[in-house]
Amino acid sequence: MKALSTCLLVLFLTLGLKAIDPEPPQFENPPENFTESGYIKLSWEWIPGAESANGHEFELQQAPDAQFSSSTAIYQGQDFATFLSGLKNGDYYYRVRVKEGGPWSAWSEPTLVRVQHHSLSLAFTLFGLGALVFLLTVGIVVQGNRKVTQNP
Amino acid sequence: MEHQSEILSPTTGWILLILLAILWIYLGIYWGKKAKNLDGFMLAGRNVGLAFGTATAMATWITSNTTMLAPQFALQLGIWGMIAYSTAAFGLFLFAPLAKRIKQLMPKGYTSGDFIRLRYGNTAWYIFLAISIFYGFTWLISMGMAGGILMNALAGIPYEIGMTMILLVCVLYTLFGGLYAVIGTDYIQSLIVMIGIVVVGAAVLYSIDLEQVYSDLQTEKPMLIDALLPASLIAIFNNLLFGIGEVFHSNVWWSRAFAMRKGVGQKAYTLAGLFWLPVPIAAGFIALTSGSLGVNITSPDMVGPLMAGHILGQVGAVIVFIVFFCSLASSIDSLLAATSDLIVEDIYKKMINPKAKEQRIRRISMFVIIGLGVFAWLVCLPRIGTLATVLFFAGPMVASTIYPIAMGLYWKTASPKGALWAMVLGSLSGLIAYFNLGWYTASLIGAAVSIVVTTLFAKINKEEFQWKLLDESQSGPNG
Amino acid sequence: MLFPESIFELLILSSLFLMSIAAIALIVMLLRDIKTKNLW
Repeated sequence: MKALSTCLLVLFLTLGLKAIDPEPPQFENPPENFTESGYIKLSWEWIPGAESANGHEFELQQAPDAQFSSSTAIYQGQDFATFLSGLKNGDYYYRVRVKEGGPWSAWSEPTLVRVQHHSLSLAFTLFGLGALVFLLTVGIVVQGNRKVTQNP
Repeated sequence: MEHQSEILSPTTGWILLILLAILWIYLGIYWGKKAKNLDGFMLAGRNVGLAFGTATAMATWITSNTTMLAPQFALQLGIWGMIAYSTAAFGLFLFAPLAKRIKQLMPKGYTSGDFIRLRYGNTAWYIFLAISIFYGFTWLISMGMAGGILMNALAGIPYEIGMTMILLVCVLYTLFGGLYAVIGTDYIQSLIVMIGIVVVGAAVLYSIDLEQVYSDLQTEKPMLIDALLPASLIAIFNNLLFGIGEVFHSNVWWSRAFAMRKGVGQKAYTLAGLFWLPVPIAAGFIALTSGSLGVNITSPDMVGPLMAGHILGQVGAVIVFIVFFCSLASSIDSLLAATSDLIVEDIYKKMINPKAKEQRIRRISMFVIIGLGVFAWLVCLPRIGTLATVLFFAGPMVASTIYPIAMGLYWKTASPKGALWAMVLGSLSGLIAYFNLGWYTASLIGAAVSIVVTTLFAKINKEEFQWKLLDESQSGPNG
Repeated sequence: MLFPESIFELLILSSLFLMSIAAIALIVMLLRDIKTKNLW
């Protein structure tokens, strides 16, 4: 008898919880991310509740500060990840939430993406080195070809 | 789990897969009848003309890497990324004079390994074979995996089955038809791929305004249209040198140089480079429209097929499926043929059984093709995603072979020690750069070290190489 | 410093144009090789 009531209680509690907001998704990325190339993949996990048969929808927000005082929605849909690229230098905060027909869940813990591109001096140095090696290679082939065409 | 739904029904996928399989295997058997002797099987009779020569060089250079990685480059590195990918065409441009030189110096040669052995002796040859076989094999595996992943993503065909099918089909037609089948199918495949990319590209232009795409990029992904995106600036010459290293050393390209008729090689490679040059941009720009069309990308290597399917619907998905199948098959067949040539000619004939008769060599070469296919299949089976990135380790290694090859073909003073140390030091320093500076510097550093080492050894070397030693038909085998 | 929009458009349009030319050239080359019996 006691076992049954415990079961009922558990059932009631779980149902009760389900009726309230869904669990928020969680980022799989660490709380702080760093990129030197301006691209990164954000992914999140979330366990669908009982009403997931009706479909679910995520919303991903981006903001320049952790308070999300001026945020923009950059993704709405069913996917569990999004690929960001072409970001300028700076800090970007992201948070995600979900709904299954009913109300929105709470926001996930935010994650920070810090973009700091390689310095232009490093880029130009390697670009120059590459250009030099390339031109020398062209020179070797062109000059060699000319020499053997003249006297094989 | 990252949900991203397929764009084609499995039934359609299966029908396409089976039709393409029957077509290639039938053509393999049909063209295989031409291969009456070993030179026919391994080198298509050494008499390939300009049209087939151009198409086969181009088709082999259009791999899953072009059709998948070019859009990925565009999405990650922007406009410069597409241009960086296009620069791989210089591998073909610069190989063009080399192809002529190779045919002239080694009219009866079989492999790039032959050249290194005759030019530099055994020690450099062993290192070269290790690099070349490692590279060929990782390339093969990366494409087997790409085939499985693509068919899974496009049509929901299970990864194991899709991967098995594409490897099986390529092994079968290469086995029946040898290089004749490889080159013949390459022609058809290159036409299909080119027309497919143009149709998809035109449809994208029709359905979307480039002005809109540009202004959306400006607000959402501004660095992609920035002319000073540092990572892309670095990637340009790295990618170019990787491409040159791949083409210069790999037997895939040498076997075609041997297979083409005298006087065809240089023209064919130059034209192939020209024809290939626009492909990465035409295939890649689609990725930049994802933002304007509101398509979410979860995995950058799938951006190309996804966008085509999104814009063109079912028809687009069918085209994309065929284009990918062709671009994969045209490279897998070449790799199977050229890598088996390398193993049979350099390892079996030169190291194990120098007295083997032609009939026996042809039998062994069929076993090697099957063996390569089975081995690739076994490695692809567990679908270890990170394995595909092993191909990038090959970057500095192949870049280090550029100068032993190029200088070895033109400079009498290029020395065996120079070649050896260029490959060893170039590969090592490139790999160190890979881990310490980033993957987009590895080939660059490897090539830079290699050019310095090869040149220095050539300058202090007094001995001049006799070119006629390269022609084994004159000096006798092992001579 | 951004790539001008005209360069962006030019790159894409010219690459598609070049590819169509290349496809036609490849077919013409094949027909010529067949006619002169120089296929392989």
